[in-house]
Amino acid sequence: MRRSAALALALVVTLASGTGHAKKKRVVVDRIVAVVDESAITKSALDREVRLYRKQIERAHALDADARTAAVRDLERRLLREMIDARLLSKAAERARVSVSKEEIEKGIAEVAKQNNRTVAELWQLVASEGFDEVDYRRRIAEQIVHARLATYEAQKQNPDLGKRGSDEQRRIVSETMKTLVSQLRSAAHIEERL
Amino acid sequence: MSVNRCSRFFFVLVGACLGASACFAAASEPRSAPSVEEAPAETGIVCSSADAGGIRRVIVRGAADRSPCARLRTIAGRGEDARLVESDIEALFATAAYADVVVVREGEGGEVDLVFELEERPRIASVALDGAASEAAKAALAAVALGTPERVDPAWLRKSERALREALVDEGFSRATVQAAVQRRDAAPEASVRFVIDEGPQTRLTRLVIAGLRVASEKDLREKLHLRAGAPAPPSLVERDALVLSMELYDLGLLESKLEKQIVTSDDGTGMEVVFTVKEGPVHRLRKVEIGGDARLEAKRYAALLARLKSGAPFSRSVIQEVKTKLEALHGEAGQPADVEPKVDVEPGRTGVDVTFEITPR
Repeated sequence: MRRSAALALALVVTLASGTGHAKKKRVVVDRIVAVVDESAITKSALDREVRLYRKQIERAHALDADARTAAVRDLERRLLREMIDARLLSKAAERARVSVSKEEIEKGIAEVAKQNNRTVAELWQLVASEGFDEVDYRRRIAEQIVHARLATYEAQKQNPDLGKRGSDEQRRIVSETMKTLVSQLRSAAHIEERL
Repeated sequence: MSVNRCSRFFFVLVGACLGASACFAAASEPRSAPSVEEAPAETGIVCSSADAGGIRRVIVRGAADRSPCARLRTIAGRGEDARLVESDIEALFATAAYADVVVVREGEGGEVDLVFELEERPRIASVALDGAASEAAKAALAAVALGTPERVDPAWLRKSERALREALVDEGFSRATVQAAVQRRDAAPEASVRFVIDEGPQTRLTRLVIAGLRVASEKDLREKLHLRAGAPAPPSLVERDALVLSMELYDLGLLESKLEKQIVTSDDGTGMEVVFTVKEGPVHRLRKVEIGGDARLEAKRYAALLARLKSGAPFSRSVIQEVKTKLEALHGEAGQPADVEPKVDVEPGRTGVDVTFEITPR
């Protein structure tokens, strides 16, 4: 039950009791906030993403509750769109049979550790000390590698000489391709945002 | 707020997962055996109930029968597990039977019910395709397998619109539009689906021009193409023929050839002229052809196969591919299976091409 109490901070909307039922406390535990074709994104999944930035928002708007609320709402909208895009890209990657190996995920994790001036061991210690779900963390890394690989694959199809370009130019082209790809996937999909 | 991907990775780590350990603790709480019972209509359908500890009842509202209960992993008698609730929502939604799922906690203290409130989608009573006038359009639409689901699913409507439109475009109706309309009386349990079609004009090829050829034979190339004057000219066919043309030019040793296509459609959309303009560039010819890697067979057996690739002959990708396949077969027949990888070396600024078939035993 402790988990539900924690989630309540982010999720809970307390409502008056509905008609036809005895008066009792009603709390929305979870609901659908977006639909991407046949799949749903839940409020609790969105809240997990929002939680990662909550401290930053609290620091940025420490004295202004209204601004804080507005910032959280903006963030929710932005993150929900990112989650929708991620889902579309994952489906596209699946169709294109783009995948990532365990070794590549480990390499990605080593890269994250390096970028944050930590050893991999320190990174995992931090993961453990924060009680973070290691499986979910690996899943996120895998997802981002797969999406980047899909965009690179698409960029190479459109620019056969991509490998000959400078690294900044390559990054720019892949980034542009990713945007175009997401836009195409969005226009072909059924998407509902229900925030 | 700007947060880049890399720093986001890090925030994943430093952002505490509030109550994560509690999630697992909740799952291992002792529980009494849940029971199943029918409930009064105003309550909903009770999927499970338990007297001791945790959730008192798990209820489904808005469903016509008990079938959603089978999808739920959340059961009475256990502590509430947000991850399980989330996966239950996803599982219910994935059935395509519900337009919405909201999970509500009702009651306080030891009297807590977890209620899954469902909004059922209407069943599909009929599907109609309206508006196609020509036989060609009707035939194209009839060939589309819509795989009609039991209930009205917006994702299916969208996919069907796209599939129907693509079928029309593939027959040359490049301006076709398809719009799904769902007709449902009030909150009736059934609905009719209509796909309203405006096929527009069927575009036919009026003229095909292949310009700029010097070495390649226009007659030979045209034989390889599927575009025909007077026949429907869908964009996919134009793309296909452009690709075929490029490959044919490549096979004639025109490795630097460039192809541009220009499509001019008449204002009324009934006619289309396609112009392929070719810049052939020099003919690349074979210079040196050899076997490399771990070649274990007699040299004369390789030589017999390489005889087709004489020095001075135009470089042809398809012939190289053919020889590769034969070399692999030769190794297989000799009981020494191997992978053969042709490595092509084109000297910059020159037209000579060296080919090495690298042999790697399996």
